[in-house]
Amino acid sequence: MTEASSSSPSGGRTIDARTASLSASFRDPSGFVFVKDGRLYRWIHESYADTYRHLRVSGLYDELVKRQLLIPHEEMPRNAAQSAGHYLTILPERIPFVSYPYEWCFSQLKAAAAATLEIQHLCLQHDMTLKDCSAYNMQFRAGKPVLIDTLSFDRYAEGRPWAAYRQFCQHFLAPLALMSYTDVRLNQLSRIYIDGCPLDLAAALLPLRTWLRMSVLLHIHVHAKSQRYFSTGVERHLGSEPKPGSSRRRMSRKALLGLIDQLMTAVQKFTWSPKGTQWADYYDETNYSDGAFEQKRETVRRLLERSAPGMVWDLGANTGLFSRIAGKLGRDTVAFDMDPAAVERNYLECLKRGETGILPLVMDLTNPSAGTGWENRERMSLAERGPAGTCLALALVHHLAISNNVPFDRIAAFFSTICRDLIIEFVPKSDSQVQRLLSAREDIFPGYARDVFETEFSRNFHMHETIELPESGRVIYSMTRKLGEA
Amino acid sequence: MPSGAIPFVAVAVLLPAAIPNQALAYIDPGAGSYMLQLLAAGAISALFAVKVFWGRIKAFFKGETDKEPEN
Repeated sequence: MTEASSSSPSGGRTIDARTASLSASFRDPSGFVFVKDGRLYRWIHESYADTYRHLRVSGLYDELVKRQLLIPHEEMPRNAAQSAGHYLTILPERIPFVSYPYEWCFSQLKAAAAATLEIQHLCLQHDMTLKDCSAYNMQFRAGKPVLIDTLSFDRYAEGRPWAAYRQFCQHFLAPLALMSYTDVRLNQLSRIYIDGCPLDLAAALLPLRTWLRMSVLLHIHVHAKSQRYFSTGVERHLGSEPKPGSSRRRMSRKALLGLIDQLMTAVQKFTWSPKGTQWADYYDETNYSDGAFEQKRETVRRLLERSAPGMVWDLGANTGLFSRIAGKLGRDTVAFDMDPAAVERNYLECLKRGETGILPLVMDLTNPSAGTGWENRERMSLAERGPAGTCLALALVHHLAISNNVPFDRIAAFFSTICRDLIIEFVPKSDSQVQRLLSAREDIFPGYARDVFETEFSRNFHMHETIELPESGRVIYSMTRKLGEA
Repeated sequence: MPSGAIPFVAVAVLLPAAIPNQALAYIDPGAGSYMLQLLAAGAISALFAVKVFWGRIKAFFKGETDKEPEN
């Protein structure tokens, strides 16, 4: 993140937009985001003043905040000495953990899409419209998707189509259709295409039967062809320049509401059920007896209680059994797993239980989210979003060390960059889970042993506690990183 | 694909005035996306009207209070 150079968050003249703005907030001329003293502010340009005032005066802001669809903010007092073009600085409520669409499971993307459409619907009722529809503007706050870009609004001009329609289809509709009809893993296309999935690509990847579904036919297949047809500009195909004020060049408010309604119906009809998951039966197939498993839970709870404050990252969280322990302790918790089905189940479970402190996300730790976009800085890598106060790495190390051939020293080094405290489980080679991993391959891991594990992790961490779990041969360690001493 | 292009050729012939006003958005709305909305507006609007009307009929028979249309 880029630190702000301003001397005053209320718009002091030393704010320099080129250096102060966060790397993801440079596209919109209406303002930018900057960080000062660990707080995140949004600087609003005077050209946006009328629109901002309408957002407040029309009641839209209050309505959206009441419905938990827009991040609430506080207006900072204005200074006498304002920087050029400055209108207002606001202090939005901070999101505990910024996540990206390619890290969301199916139902999270669906919820974010539905929330976006609900916002647009409310906008139209207040003579406003969403001027952009980036999925990156939606974040999960207390378990619900919320719009974090307070400058995403524009005044609605009667007769004008929705400027963000293309972006909505590329950021939400196409990925949802692909996840629902083709393969849930195609959400990863969002990693490559920062402005959403190209519609011609989505159309090519969708099965033929989607031509029979009206919403997909119109908003993806025909939309893709329309984009291609008009790619060289409208005038070339249709002739003369448009004449301002022509009554035939309009999209009525009713049609716009119909479009939003149609898109909402399309989003709600997309379904995906995790039919089988790599880890679905994991808890049933471990070497734990009921008593030993209960002791593991109790051990994790006790260690979490005395661990470093801040967020908990549960690495390899599966369906979130241990994340829930952290959540119940009041810790903001991110539950990472590489399996979209496990994350889906975890998310649905969180909704069912009303657990708002847990954010399940799809993350492959052997290839964690990288910095992407302009200068590789628009979207943060996983490490940039840390370090977490505490990482849980339970029943994980053998997958990294044996399935992925990552040596202990590298695992320890990586973990020391993403957390201060670490609660980690060592699974011995004699464990059936490890034996299963070795069953189809040569054992080239003579160094996979408890003493080597302890030696390597001791280079990066101070070890506090070692708890041997009965009947399983597994060991849980509580550690604090040495890197954090600096 | 000639058959796929037919609707667009028809549109080009029948609706030469359906060229949008300049979109004053900082993101590119996309000419094709913009045009598609204009061209489909009539049908979308009609379908929406039918849906709202049908909703009212269902509400009437269910004995629910008539709700204000969503516009």
